[in-house]
Amino acid sequence: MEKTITKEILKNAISTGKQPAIEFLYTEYGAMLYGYVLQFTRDQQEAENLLVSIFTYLSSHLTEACNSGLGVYCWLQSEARKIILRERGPDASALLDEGRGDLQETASGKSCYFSLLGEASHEQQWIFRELFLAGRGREEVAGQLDKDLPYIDKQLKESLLIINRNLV
Amino acid sequence: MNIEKYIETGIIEAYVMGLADHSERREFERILPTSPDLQQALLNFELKIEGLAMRHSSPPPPGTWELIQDRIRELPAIRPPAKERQAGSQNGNGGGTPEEFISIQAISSTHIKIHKHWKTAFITVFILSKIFLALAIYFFVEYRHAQKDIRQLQEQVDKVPAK
Repeated sequence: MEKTITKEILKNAISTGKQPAIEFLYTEYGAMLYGYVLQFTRDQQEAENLLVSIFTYLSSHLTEACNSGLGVYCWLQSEARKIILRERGPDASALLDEGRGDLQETASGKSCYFSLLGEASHEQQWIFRELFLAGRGREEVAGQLDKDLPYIDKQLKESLLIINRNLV
Repeated sequence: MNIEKYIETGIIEAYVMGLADHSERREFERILPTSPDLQQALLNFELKIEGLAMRHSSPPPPGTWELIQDRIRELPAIRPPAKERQAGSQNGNGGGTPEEFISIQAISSTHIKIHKHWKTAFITVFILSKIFLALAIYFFVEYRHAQKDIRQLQEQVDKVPAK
């Protein structure tokens, strides 16, 4: 698969103006980012509000994508996660738990990263969820599990490698 | 550094997914420009992430784009700092978009910012106050002289014997 938008394409889009550049990104990546947001919340209204916040933020930070070490889409996804975690606040973890019995259940009913973590232990899945979806700090998670930081790091990195292995 | 071993630590995945801490990010960004293997591994993982996102994409509800447009229109446009504008023009970017900007800057809590026309008004009031002050002093001195003259004349009148 080839990248849909390179930094050069994005630069050209930015040179045409802020509004056309955002519209271009929304057309190309709006659905992908909305699917990504739905991993963090099952509430469609909240997901829509988050998507609006993401693109509003992007409208004044587009040039940062061109200077990032990441490709355009991964940069967008990375910024989107920061906005989601910031807007959901410290209760994000509790919100994830609401009415949820299965870690693999997602807002849209589709599993995404968790479907790739099938061979990970339940503890690795939980650590990944708390760090990635709830945005909790490693120290906090280590304290809750009564483990040290290197242990949490190891579990996280192993779960990330499992995800990479299972990605096609 | 053994790049293969470094990649096997899961640093690429952590970096792309925003799970690397500050020192890990700094180290990764320091090594990345000098290692084609790391660049290739990063690109491969990014393509996988993009593919995953494509497969799990979901069309946003109708009207979302209009909401985004409205929100962007509500945003005040911020003029980049002078240095950036200068750099932009040097890079052939023209120093930004031709849109009309509203200048926004942080101000100290002990200072106020007012329209520049007030400067002229303050100067005019200051000059007028000085003119009035000078006139007041002048007329006061004249009044004192006049009083002195009246007193002298009164004394002269008093000295003249009555007929």
